[in-house]
Amino acid sequence: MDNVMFLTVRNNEGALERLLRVTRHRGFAIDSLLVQNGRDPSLYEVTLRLSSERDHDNLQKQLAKLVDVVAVQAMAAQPLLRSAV
Amino acid sequence: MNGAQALCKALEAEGVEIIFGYPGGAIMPVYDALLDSTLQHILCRHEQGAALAADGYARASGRLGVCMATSGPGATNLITGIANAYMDSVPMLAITGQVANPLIGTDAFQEVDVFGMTLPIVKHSFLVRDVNELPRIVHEACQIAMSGRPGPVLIDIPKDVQNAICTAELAMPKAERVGELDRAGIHQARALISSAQKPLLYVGGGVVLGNASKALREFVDATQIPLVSTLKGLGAVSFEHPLNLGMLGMHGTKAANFAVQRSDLLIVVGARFDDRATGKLAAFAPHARVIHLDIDEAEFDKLRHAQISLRGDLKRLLPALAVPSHCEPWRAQCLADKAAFAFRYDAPGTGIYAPGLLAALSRQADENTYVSCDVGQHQMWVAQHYGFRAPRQHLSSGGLGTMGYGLPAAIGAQLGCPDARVICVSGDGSFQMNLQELATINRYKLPVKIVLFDNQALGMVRQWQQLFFAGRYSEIDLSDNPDFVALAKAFGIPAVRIDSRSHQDEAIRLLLETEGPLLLHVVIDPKENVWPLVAPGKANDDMMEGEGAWTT
Repeated sequence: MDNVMFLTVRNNEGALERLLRVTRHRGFAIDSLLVQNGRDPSLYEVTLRLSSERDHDNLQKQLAKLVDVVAVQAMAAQPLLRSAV
Repeated sequence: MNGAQALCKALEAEGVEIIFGYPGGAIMPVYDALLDSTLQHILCRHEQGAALAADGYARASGRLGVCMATSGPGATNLITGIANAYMDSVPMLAITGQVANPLIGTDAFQEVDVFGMTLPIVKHSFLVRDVNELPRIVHEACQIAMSGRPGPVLIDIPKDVQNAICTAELAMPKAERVGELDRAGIHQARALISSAQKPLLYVGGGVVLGNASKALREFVDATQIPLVSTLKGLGAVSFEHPLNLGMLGMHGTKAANFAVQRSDLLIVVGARFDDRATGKLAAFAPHARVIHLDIDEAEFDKLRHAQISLRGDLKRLLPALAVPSHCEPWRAQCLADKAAFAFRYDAPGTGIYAPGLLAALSRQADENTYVSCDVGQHQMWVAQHYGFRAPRQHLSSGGLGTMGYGLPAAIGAQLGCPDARVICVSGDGSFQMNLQELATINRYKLPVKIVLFDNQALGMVRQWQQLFFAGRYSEIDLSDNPDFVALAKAFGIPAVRIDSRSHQDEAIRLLLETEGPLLLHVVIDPKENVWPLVAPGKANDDMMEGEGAWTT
């Protein structure tokens, strides 16, 4: 099932690598990736569109465990949303 | 003060007393600073030994284990030990030297991207770019390693950072926030426990790591619910407790596996449904509803859906759930199974029966005895037959299954618990993976005892080839083993060889009465197998057994 994850991530060395690694290792393919600086330069915002046979709840909890991840929200990818991410 | 000195000061401020390590080019400023610090450095003979010793230190003492190595091969040699700590949630700080900042990314001498290489096996990691960040990073690293679900943290420190002048102050500790418990979930869980007819506790290593053994024992005594334990949960409740049915899973007891399969409520305490514990997951505890207690929310519903998931400190959760159970017939059935399927030690023959020796050893050893083991048949025999009475006394590489763990872990445990008796139970295969650490035992005059079971084979692989590969034996023969007694003596460690059951009692007495280190080389039957065994892909109540009646 396709899902979209919205993450707020600390701008630390290796932070993006960490979350991409967890995503791959836990069995999710990344269909699109958007990384943007937020208003606060110490944080950035990541939007991931994912596909997998696995339950996205587990991935959400695994990503939330990363020290660099401040917040993570997930939702099913609606057709309307796909064009946005 | 330079970065290396600031590192030592910051570690001292965190209460670190011992570092296991090995020097080299990119970490030399730190080794220079160590000379003026209160930190005791233990020189291991291989960086993997240092990392595994730090792991053993942490598991046995409950404190942070610290290991250190240089860049390049020093750092890569730590990796197995870091992975071992990650898989078993052991609090560890790994410090590596790195080539100077301007050289990073130039393929410099002894440069590897250890920060990148260890991303999958650390709870968190830091590459220190600015010396003034060092005190804060050390503090954060120690906090992260020890808090919540513990784990290893890496700090990679370029050599120029070690030499640069540091003007930053020591970081101040922040109070840890204590979360609220889920009161509605607790209310529901109490109702489930109270109404269950066949409730069972499934106890994991989280109880030990969370220092919740006392809370668990009180819960068991209050509810009178029987319990089974994972490999890492052994000792959380004494094996002598009447309601302890023993280990579940692939080499679990019949009583434990039958109880899980028949239960109608599984209360999972600090365990994670590991495949070695569950067997065929779809057939695991098929009639049970699940209450899952853990500090790590990511374990909930990962492998098995829980009707109720409660995240938090087990020391707080367990008392909140202690309600009387109403399961007398079930308890009686569990206890009857426990008695009917108890292990027997009257194996025929005159050779040494390893399970019997371990059972005898545990009967005679005092309560302040720690046992480390390696990986393979002897590891399962320790779990099955050595009776653990207290938490932290069973040091076993559960998640990663690291051959070569036992000897360095025993070194770490002995240094973490200087007044304890520490016994390393090993096999002839595993022992040769880190036997260089005999030199560390000799250097620091550590009274570590070693029981080396020698079946002249890689026994567990041989067992699987016998059972699952039609007896086609491939690369398991170790019949040309070295003379282990001579080997130990070459390292200055006394050693004795026994090969007959008639020598067993005297050997155990010698082992327990010798003040310094001793290696007991125990020759056993190469054909002996570990029973019972749940074959891969089978349900836990489908247990294979050997031909001997003594295995029940």
